[in-house]
Parts: sequence; structure tokens; C-alpha cells
Amino acid sequence: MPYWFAKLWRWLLWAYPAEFREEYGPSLTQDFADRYREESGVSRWQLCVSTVVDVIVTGAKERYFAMMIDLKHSARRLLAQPLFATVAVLSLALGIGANSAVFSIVNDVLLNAAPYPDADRRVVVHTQNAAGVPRPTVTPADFLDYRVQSRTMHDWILFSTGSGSTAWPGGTPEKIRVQQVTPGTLESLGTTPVLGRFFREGEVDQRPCLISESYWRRRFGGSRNVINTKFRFGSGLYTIVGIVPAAFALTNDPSVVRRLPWLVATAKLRDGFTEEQAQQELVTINARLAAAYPESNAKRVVSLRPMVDTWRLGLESTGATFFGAVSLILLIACANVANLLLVRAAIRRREISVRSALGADRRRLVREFLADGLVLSVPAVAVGLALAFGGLALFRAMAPPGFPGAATAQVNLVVLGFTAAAGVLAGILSALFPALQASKVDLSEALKEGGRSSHGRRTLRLRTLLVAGEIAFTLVLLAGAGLLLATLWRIGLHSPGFDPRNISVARVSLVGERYDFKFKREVDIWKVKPPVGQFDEHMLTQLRALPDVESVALSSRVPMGPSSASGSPAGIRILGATLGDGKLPTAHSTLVSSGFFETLRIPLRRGRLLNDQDHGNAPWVAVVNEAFARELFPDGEALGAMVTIQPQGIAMPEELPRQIVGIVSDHTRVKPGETTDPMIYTTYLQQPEVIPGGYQGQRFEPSFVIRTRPGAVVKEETIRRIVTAFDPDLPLSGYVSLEDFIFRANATIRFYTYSLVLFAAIAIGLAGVGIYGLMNYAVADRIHEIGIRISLGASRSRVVGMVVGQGLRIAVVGIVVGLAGALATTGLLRRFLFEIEPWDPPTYALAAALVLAISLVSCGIPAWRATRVNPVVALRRE
Amino acid sequence: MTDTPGNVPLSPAAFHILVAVAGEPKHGYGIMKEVAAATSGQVKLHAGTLYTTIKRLLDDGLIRETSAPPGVASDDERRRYYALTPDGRQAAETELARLQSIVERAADSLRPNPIG
Repeated sequence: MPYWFAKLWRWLLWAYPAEFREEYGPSLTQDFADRYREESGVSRWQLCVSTVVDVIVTGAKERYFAMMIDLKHSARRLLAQPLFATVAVLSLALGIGANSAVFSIVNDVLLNAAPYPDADRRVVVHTQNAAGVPRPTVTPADFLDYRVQSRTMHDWILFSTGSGSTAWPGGTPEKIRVQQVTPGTLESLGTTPVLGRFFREGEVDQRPCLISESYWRRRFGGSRNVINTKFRFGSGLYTIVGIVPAAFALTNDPSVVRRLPWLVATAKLRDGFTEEQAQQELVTINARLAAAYPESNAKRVVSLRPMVDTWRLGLESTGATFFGAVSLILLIACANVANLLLVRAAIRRREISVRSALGADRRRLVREFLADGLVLSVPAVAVGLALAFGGLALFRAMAPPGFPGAATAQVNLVVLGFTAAAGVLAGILSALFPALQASKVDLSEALKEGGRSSHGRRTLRLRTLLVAGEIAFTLVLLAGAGLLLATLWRIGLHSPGFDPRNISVARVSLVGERYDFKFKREVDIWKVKPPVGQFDEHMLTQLRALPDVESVALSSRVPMGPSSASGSPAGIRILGATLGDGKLPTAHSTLVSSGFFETLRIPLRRGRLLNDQDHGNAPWVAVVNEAFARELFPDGEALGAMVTIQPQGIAMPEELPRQIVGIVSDHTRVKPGETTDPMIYTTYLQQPEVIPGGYQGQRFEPSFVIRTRPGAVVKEETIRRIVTAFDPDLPLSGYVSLEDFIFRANATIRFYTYSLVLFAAIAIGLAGVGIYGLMNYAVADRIHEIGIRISLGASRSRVVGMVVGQGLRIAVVGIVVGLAGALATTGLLRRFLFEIEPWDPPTYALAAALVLAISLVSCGIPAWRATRVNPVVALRRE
Repeated sequence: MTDTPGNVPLSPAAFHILVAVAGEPKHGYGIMKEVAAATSGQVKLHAGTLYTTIKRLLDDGLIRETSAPPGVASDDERRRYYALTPDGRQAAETELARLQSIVERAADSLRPNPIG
């Protein structure tokens, strides 16, 4: 045999299991060498090749047979101990099921973020904003140049992320969402029309439009005749040319679209080009544009990012947090099973020693244990999958509407594969420690009749470590759940500074030429027409006349309400004051009617509130909050001061100076936990007739705040009737109970909290079983000693103290490690927390106390059993 | 393994091995040569197939390991020899009968039909 083949041959024999290799390897080699010598030339080569194939095939078979025998024996052993097997399988199943459920959601949300063909080849153009942060947006002009000039990218599409508009299907006005796309966008994203067609190049003048399948079914009853009919929305008349399927979405996570800027451009990398090359080309094109159009493009910095990354936004960290949580559960479960296996190993100690003495291979013992782990993982995966289905159903029921993955997550093939892999891994992980430990048998010690060997003590030490680890992991989960619970509790207790009970908010968009007029395109200035004020008057009068209504007010923004976060602060010029650094102080400017503070029950601190005497011809006045008085007048008197409000920092000649006549108490503007910003309130009767762009919402999107008698409800239909009585074309864009709205705003944090509490509960249960199992064994192990102690007169309390003390020592070690782990990881939750720090000592103390209590309870039964030890029986066992 | 003696059908490799050691005990290489000779070189057992099958036959008690028969060359003495057990003989005979019945049936089917 040539040297190289001899070498290969030695490697080849590893195809067989060790025992077979040792038993038959030499014979195999010798026989092969004999035959090799007999052949010559080509047939020698043939022999080598066919023997190599033969060894590989029979080696795989042999290994398979050996594994099946191990698994069969293991299954038989486990079936003989149903209680042990059940506890172990259920432990693993809980861990696997939780992982599987979370994986199916994370997989759906993250991996399928961009549900179209070649999504991984798509890139999104990012432009740096003023703060230097890249945002996925471009100007239409730049888009056209990129599309023409790029050689590395093709299939360019541009779409807007949508804006509100009004449509009049069947005569009733209603709010719709309008998105603009370049022709070819929908085709590129791999969708086909349900009916009709998509856009064609060069048909803009015919004003074609597409409607979504859901809108088509809801408003047009799914009629096929809708194609080529006229559809009026916004300020134009359009022709419906096609229906977009309901399944089409820019991303699986609808909240992503809302967080994107206005215009998004994406393109596909041409075959053979990398993202880096495309990036370089884009920078080159951008430099050319900067040279050609220095005024607009000189400072523009562009970059490319994969589309899937753009879509994912901040979802990764949430996914990672939850994955972390369920991974801890699986680790706890593994520790539990490892523990149970160690108990069995301890019981089988003598059998194992005898077998070792008779020459059983250590590897064989290791394999036996691994087989136990694998055999346990098979039913655990099955039960775990069932739990995952249940978990997903629970997720769908509990998740707030529109929560990523709520509608689409399912147990698919990928999830099945993940679950099986997690199961096998968990099985091996559970068996690894016991396998290595049990196979390290010290013969002379173990065979000593009745001796409690040092080996026994060694496994006890390992088991103690495992249980301490379980306790530590449990504490980490518990601390996280505790922090979120504390947050929820604080949100519940949080006083917003007003009374949202029995308040309804109706919003109306005043759109159309009757109300507004953008009279200078370049400077973006809007003119308010008289019907705006007439409408406000009409609404207030009519709503106040309704039965069950206690009070009504108008406001451009309702605290913690639907549009509370809209708009940016306006500049405030204090008359007679000099600006220190040349920058105007700012405050959120809110336009209200008289009765606003009374309706929301925002307390007056000083001065007076706005009333009906503050009309257009009276001197202009304003009310501010305490933060305004505190921050803009740090050492002066706000009350009586004169200010002008300068939206966008622009001094409008029509905006008259106002006197501050009252100071109201601070209240929450958008959500609990925010910094309290200065606020200034003015009445809608004292407003300039022109408004700079960006502030139109103040005037054209009023909210009506309605306080009803407790228990009474004003129907939406009633509100709609009042609106259309003034103008049949006006849509009611929203009508909600403020309390419901605030409750729904916390749906996500509530969902996260309940999920983590559920995980922590599972962890506690598992850890409890772990401690119980360990202490039970420890008592059995020391039964001889306990017997002697009792016969020597040890009291019951002493025996209980001894057992419980041992358990508590383990618990304390676990708690110390767990506290350190919690400190290191709860920072992940920071962005969900409100009025509480991730290292909040009371929460940690409470979590530790709970773990300690569970440990005590779990020690209780073994301790009680220890006191029942009959010394005579215990001693006779020797 | 769980196979009982006479459990048919045997794998072809197993059958060939049983037949090969039916006469006198042989070592692995001897079995290879015997099988090749008996089948005019049509069946060539490779070392891997040979020893995994031998292991299974040993486990099932169809063959047993034995010492080298007297009179073999000294370097062959170190080899492991295998001999047929009574169970093995029975298994081989059962298999032979099975194969024979297949052959007879096949011959019947292929014989020209006297009527047609």
C-alpha cells in the first residue's frame, strides 16, 4: 500500500464507531492490503476507489445501527421511569415551545421584513439630514438623475409613504390614505393587480389611480364595474384603473412605513455589482450633481443601505431582548434535565462502576447519556411545537393591533427546522454534563459497599452549581418582568395633570378651497378663509346643545390624544427682553377655545383662564403653563408680560403681541415620562389670517373636546351629522374616547410586560422543580446521617434547619449571581421603562425575595420528609 | 441483534459469507477469495461490507470465531478465523430453500406454455 493511501486509510477507518474500529480495524486493513497486493495497474485503482466508497457507506450504516441501539435502550430505560421522563420532557418542552413561538414571530418580522422578490438585492438611497443622520429619502429631481446615470443599479422606484386626504365615494366624505408611486413600482415589488392594471409610463395627464383591495371591497362591494370609473379625492378627479391586492405591503411591519420619511427611492443592484460599487457610483453621481446645481446639492451627502435593514429599523433590539428571555428559559430547562439525569446517574452509580470494571468503554457510557438526552428531546420537540402553536394563538390574542408579526407569524418549515434543532441542542446540552461526570467513575470508591463516595459529593457539587444557575437565570427574568410591571404600575398611577375620563375627541380636517388658500408657493404661506372660524363656531354651538354633554372646547392639540405629538415648538419673543445668545426661546403653541381648561380640568395656578370676552376685537391674550413661566422667566414675572408667537421663528406682521393673563399647571403633553415643555395657549378668535407652512394643522385640523356626563356617550353619527350640516363635503377624520386612546397607547408596553411576566413565571416553576429535585436527592443521600442525628436526639427543627439551610445556601449563591446578571442585562429594557431605573433596588429586592420564597417552599417537602426518617430503618439500610 | 436464526431473507453478503465458511473455518481474506471464486468473480465483497456483516452474523450467533485450523502458514495464524454454527447452517439452508423456490417459480413462468 503506498504511504499516502495508508495514511488516508487510517483516517477512513474513523467512519466506523470506535468499538467496531478497534475490534475489526486491523483485520480490515490486513485484508485490504492482501487484496491490494494481488491486483495491479488499473484494477488497483478500481479496488482503492470502490473500497473507499464501501468503507464510507458501511461506516455510516454501522454508526446508524449503533445509534439506534443506544436510542432503543435509552427509550426502554426512560419508559421504566415515567415520572422522571415526564418531568424532563415537560421541562424541555416549555423551553423549546417558548423559543419556537418567539422565533416564529422574530423570523416573520425580521427575516421577512421585505416581502418581495430579490429583496436582498435592493438598496435604499439615504440622504443625511441637518443633524448628519442618514434618512431613507431623496428629492424627486435627484431620483431622476440617479435613474438615468446609474450603471450599477436598475429597476429604480420612488414612492411616497403616504398622507391623509379626503375622498367622496358615494357622496359621503371620508379620510383616506394616499401614496404616490412611480410607474412600475408595484410590478417591481412582485405584485399583480386583482383587477384592471397598474400604472403606465406617460399617462399622468389622465390622472389614473389604484385602490386597495380592502377599500374596494368595503366601499365598492368588490364590484368589477369600478374599473375606469371616476373617483374624486383631494382636489382632483381620478380614474380607477386597477385594484392592488390586500396581501401587498411595502413591509410586513406597518408601523415602519409610518416612521419613514416622505419620499423613498430604491433600486436593485445589477448582477455582478456589489453594494460598495453602487455606493461609490452614487457618490460620484452626487458629486456631479453638486457641481451642476451647487445651490441645492452642494451639501448633500448620500449613501446606500440594504432595503431589508431600512425596513427593520429598531425592531432588532426588541427581538433580541425577547430571544434572550426565552433562551434563559431553555437554559433553565436544560439545567433541570441535566439535574434529573445526574440523579439517575447517582442511582446507577454502582451499575456503571461494575460495567466499567468489566471493561465497558467510557465513550460508550457517554454515548448512553447523550442518547438519553436525544430520546428526551423527541417528545419534547413534539410537545414544544404544540406549546408554540398555543403561544402564537396567545400572542395573536394579546398583541396590540398592528403589532409586527401579529397577523402573519406562523409555524412554518423554517420554524419547524429551528424547533427540531433547538430540541436536539437542548437534549445534548442537558446530557453533556451528566455524561462527562458519570463516566469519570472511581472504581475502588464506588464499589465500596454502601460508601458515600467522593464521586457522589462531586456530582452533588455539580448539581448544586446547576441549580444555582437556574436560580440566577430566573432572577434575571424576574427582575426584567418586575421593572416592566413597575413601569406599568407607574403609568397607571401617573397623573397626567388633567382628567381624561368621560372625554371624547372629534377631529375634522378642513380641506378644500373653501377653507384654505396657499397663496405664495415659494414661501409656503397659507391664508385662513372666514368659513374656518364659522365652522369652529358652528361645531361649538351645536355640540354644546347636545344632551348629556357637560362642556365642549376646541383645541388644535389634545394632550395625550390622537394628534398630541404633531407640530414643532414655535419661537417666543418676549417684548422688552434682550436675547442672551440671539436665539428665541421656544414653546408648544396650542390654539384653544374658551372652556378648554375647564373641560379637561387643568387647574389654574394664577391669573385667569381664557373666556368669551377674549374675542377678535379685544386685546390679544395668552395662557401659559408653569414650565413656560419657570423657563422663560427664570427670575421675572410671567403674568402680565407681553409676548409674540413666531412659528418657524418667522415674525408675522399679522401676529399681534399678547399679554399673558394666566398660568395653568403642567400636564402631560404626549406620553408619561416626557420632559415637561413650555406651553402657550391662545384662543382661536385671536389668530392671524395667514399661517406659515408646517403650522396649518393648528387652524385646519381642529379637535373638539367633549365632556359628557359619566356613563353617557355621544354617538359618532351625531357628530358626523353636525359636521355635514355645515359642509356635506367635510370628513370626520376621527372620533375616540380619550381614555381609550390613552389605554391603547400603552398597549405595547403592556404586551411586553405580560410576555415577560409569563416567561418569568415559567422560569420560576422550572427553578422550583430544580431545587425540589436537588433537595430531595440530598436528603436521600444523607438519610444515614439524618438517621443517626435523630437517634442521638436531634430535634425536628434542627433537622428541618439543616435541610433548609443547605437549600438556602444554594439559593443565595444563585441570587448573588442572578443580581449581577440582571444588572448587566436589564439595561436592554431601558427604553420601555418609565420613572424607574434599570437598577431599581426595590424591584431587585422584591425579585430576590420571591426567588428566596420559592426556594424555601421547594425545600419544604424534602425537609419534612427528613424529619420523618425512622432512625432504625435508616441505619438498617447500611 | 434481534434477528433469530433462520430469520429470512438474509442479505446476499451474509448468505455468501455463511456459504463460504460452511466447509472449514476461514479468515476474512479467505472469505473474500472464496466468495469471488464461488461466483466466478461476479460478487466481490469489500472489506467494509465483509466485516460489518461478520459482526452482525457474530452478534446473531450464525458464525463464531475460532482458532486457525492446523497446518496453515504461520503468518496466517494471527488472523481471526470464522466458522459456521448450527444456527448459521440452519439459516443458510432456509435461505437456500427460499432462493430455490424463487428459481423454480421463475423457471415455471418462463417455460413455454404447452397449450398456447
